[in-house]
Amino acid sequence: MSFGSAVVATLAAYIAVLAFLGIRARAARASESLADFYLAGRGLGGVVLLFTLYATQYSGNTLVGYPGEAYRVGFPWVMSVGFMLAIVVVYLVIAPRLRASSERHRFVTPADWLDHRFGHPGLTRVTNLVMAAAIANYLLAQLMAMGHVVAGLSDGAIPYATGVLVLTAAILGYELLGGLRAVAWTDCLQGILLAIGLGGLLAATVFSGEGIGEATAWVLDNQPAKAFRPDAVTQATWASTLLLIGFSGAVYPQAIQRIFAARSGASLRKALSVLAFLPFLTTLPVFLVGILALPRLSGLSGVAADQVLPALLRGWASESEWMFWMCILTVVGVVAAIMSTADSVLLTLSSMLAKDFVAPVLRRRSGGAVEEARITRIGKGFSLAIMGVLVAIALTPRISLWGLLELKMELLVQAAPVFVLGLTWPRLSAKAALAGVICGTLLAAGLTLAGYGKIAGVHAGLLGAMLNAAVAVAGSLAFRPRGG
Amino acid sequence: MKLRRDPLSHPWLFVVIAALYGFSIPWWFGEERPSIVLGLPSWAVVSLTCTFAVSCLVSFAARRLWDDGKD
Repeated sequence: MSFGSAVVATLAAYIAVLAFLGIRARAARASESLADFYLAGRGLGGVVLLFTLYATQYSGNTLVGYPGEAYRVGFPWVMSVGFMLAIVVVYLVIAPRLRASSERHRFVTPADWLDHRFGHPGLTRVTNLVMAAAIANYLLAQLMAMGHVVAGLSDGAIPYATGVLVLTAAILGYELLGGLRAVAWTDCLQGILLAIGLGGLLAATVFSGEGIGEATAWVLDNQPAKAFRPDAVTQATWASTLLLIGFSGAVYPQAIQRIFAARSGASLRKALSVLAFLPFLTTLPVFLVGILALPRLSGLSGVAADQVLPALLRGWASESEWMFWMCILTVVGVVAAIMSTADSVLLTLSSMLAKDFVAPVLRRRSGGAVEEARITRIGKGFSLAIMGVLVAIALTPRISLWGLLELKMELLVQAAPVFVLGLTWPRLSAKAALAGVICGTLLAAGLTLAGYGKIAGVHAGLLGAMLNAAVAVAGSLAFRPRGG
Repeated sequence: MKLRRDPLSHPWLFVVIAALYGFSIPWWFGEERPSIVLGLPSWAVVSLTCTFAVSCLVSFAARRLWDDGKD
């Protein structure tokens, strides 16, 4: 069996299992309520919560982009191991209070907490728009990555457009059937696949044959700049990226919904205590793959370096039967990682649009309550519409879109001061927080669109978030409400 | 929203995490050629060790310094 046809066969089997899990998740539903569909009935236990947080955090970019970046940058890319851990550090700040508050007030979307904490429709709407715009870009990036990865890893057996369409249909299938319950169960499958694949690769490549020590010696002799201490600007970018990913990753709306969906505080604590070690089982192996590629695939540059993982997998697959199947599992794990990020983002985006934007309008029109089952149906309609629009864009990609995608983290981090300060500082006022979000977003978007993505190594988004927090704090101190 | 134990009431935790993250960035290493330790440049090994220490600290905090009093 050739590598390409083995990938196609394994991927088909994986999609069949996803469909089965979607049907099982639908059978497990207790009602058509928003909490049942979007939060799995607030019943996610520690293990499922761990896998679904893991699958949501680690996207295709982590697994395909990071080896390419390690190949381009060299050993300074060891910084990436700390990136996902920074998100868990920020969770320690916001999750305990957010979880306790959501247990009492039964939040479904991040906007529910914003309404509860600030009671300011303008702040809720603007923060929600910033988050929705950021994750819509993110979802588009995942769809495009699905097409590219499947085409690249199947040796062209599955064309780009077919990959996008088939995998999008699969996601819509199990998600519309089972909501977050289906998404979380498929996340478990993805996590197991990825752990076996990456673990097997790590064991096979690092501890036998041409190991990492030989690769390091080769880099020191042939490309010493990639093994020496990084320069001052790279060090500034290192610190900036840690802060940017830590704060923006922690306020991903889909991550916040998982805090709401936890069965108990104990299950969330257990999940986070294990999640803290997963960078060493995920980001570290893919970093080492990029380093191992340096002596084996010298001469790649620019975007071509993103083909490091597929190229190495194809080479390793021919070394032994064991390596062949570890490589196949890794390929399917990578595709599954992209799908699991896309399905989580889609579910959250549709819940935000249906519950936070459409339901209030319906409520005003009808002059009373709107059935939850109706909002859930509207949300499912949004899922179909969002995917329809984004697939159309993904099938006719324009280069300018990538400029928009770069705005994702820069935008999302502007929601962080509202959540972090709102949860930790009772004096934060809604008007000051709103002024902060607007100032920070304008600065970050303005700098990025003007071509200043980084200044002296510091991300425009982080500069925007610093201005955002400063305006929010100064405004709250200067204009204290009477008697407050 | 009263928690029995909250990581935020332990500021030392975040000071130590910030210090470890600070040392994971190799500003303290010179311009000289690094030696190879455990198959990696020596500064990268120190960086990974600091990051692993953050993992241990975060895991400890999640299990021991956070309790909503309901479990």
